[in-house]
Amino acid sequence: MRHLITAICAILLTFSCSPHLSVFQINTRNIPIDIQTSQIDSSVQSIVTPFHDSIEHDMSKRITVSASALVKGKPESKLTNLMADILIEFGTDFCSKQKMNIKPDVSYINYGGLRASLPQGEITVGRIFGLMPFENEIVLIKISGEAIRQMAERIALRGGEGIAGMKIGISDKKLVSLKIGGKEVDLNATYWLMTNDYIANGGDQMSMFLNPMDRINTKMKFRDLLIQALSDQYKKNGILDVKLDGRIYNEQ
Amino acid sequence: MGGSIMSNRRKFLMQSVLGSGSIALGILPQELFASGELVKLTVMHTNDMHCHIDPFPEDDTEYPGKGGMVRIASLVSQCRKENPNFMLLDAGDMFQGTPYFNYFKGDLMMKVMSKMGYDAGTIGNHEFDNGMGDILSAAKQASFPLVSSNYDFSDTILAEHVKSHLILKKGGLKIGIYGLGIELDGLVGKLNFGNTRYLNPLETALKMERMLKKDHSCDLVICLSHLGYSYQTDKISDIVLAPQTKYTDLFIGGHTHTFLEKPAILKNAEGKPILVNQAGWAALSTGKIEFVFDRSGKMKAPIPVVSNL
Repeated sequence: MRHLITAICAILLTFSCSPHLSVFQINTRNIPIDIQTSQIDSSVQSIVTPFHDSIEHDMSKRITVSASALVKGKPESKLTNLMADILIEFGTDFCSKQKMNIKPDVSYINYGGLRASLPQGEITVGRIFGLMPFENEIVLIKISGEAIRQMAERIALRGGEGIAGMKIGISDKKLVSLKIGGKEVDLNATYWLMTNDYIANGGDQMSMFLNPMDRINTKMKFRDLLIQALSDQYKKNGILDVKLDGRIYNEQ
Repeated sequence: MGGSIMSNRRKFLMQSVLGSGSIALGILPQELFASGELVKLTVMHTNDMHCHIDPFPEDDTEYPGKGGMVRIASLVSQCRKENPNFMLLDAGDMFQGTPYFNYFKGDLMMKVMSKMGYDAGTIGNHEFDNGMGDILSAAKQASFPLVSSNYDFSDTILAEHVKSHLILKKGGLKIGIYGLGIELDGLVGKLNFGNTRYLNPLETALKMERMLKKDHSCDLVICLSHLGYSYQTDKISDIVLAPQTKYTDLFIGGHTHTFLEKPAILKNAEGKPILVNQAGWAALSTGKIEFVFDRSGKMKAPIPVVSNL
């Protein structure tokens, strides 16, 4: 009997209301997070503090001093040029130390991979982590002049990125001039390109880098290189003073 | 800005879209909530936090002193106190962006998000940055589930650790959640996503929402999307996908780091409103959305009214 009543109730319930409720009012608010809208939560902060303190010593270490703020921009910028220069200088040094009979011709650093600007004045390790959070390693790839041309076309389409060892002229997002080491690109020749493994693996739509003729993994992380190269330069040359040189230019 | 929001608080009706202006509902009588005739669910959400646990430094050029999960946490705990039916969701790219990730991988993020009481999160492309081993480790550490419906992980180490969909219960309400991830090819190194199969996001969404609404009778269906808000190209995005759905009520988006002053209100395939929201990045913003349900069946409102809090 009890089962029967339960069953009847269940049937009544099933048929007396729709299977799900309907929303009849929605209220929304997107809240900016700042000192006006929100306090720091002490219970979460207490979890974070020991982690924060354990890396603060590393992060606050000064590695160089810059004469100007280094902000990324297009077609070229102090920041993108500096990154690409550090990359190609490392490559040259790496190949000579490894007694390899090669020398990198060009370097490329993807614009989107640079995640922050560097300030004028003191630059700390923490700033470099902000700029380059990724664990990408530096690689050398041997590719054709044609692949370099395709890369340059993509750079032109994007309005500019980080390059060294070559000069690119852009007009209306199209490549109009490409020189490598001061000479016209030879589409049938081979060149050595320095970049990071994300790009060499075809990331950021750079599929022309897949299947290179040769590839050398340096095992050096780009961030570690930046920290090392900037502090070496500071010890040697003092204040960092990056200048633009027109390596990517818009043709009128 | 903040002042005008406050003075307009509860002021009916910011967007009288879709011809629903005739339903004059501003402040709802508290008795209706007390008697259980109305029931409210409050959803807070984040996306692309990128390990920005701390606020930006005071000398930051763009966001001095702003953002920080430690700040969002205080809003969350206050909101949870005020709203018994509360959910906290994330739309991916929890990983990568501050030294906390380089030093501690996803560990500190999972500790903080678990403490904040997240109910669910989805998987963004940056979750793959250290390979799937770190996603597995995060999934094991987190006190909340990870949900992804269009990454088929069945041939990977994540097979048993990421849900294809979720049904959460809050105050007698059933909330169905599914997750959509962005195409990994060309964005993430192949080694990092291994045998993950990428399924068509639209087909997946239609299948998931039907299953959650029709088979499981969910009262609300939410998509956690890391597809991106919109693109200039014809690439699939929230703005493109949401209008093609039938049973999804809310898209919580990510990937494009889009700051929206308020959620976009689109029409779904049946002409009903669907909300698409995104909360910037780096814990600089959080979305808060209240859904009021009518349990009595007395409120004749075929189309919900949307207003600003």
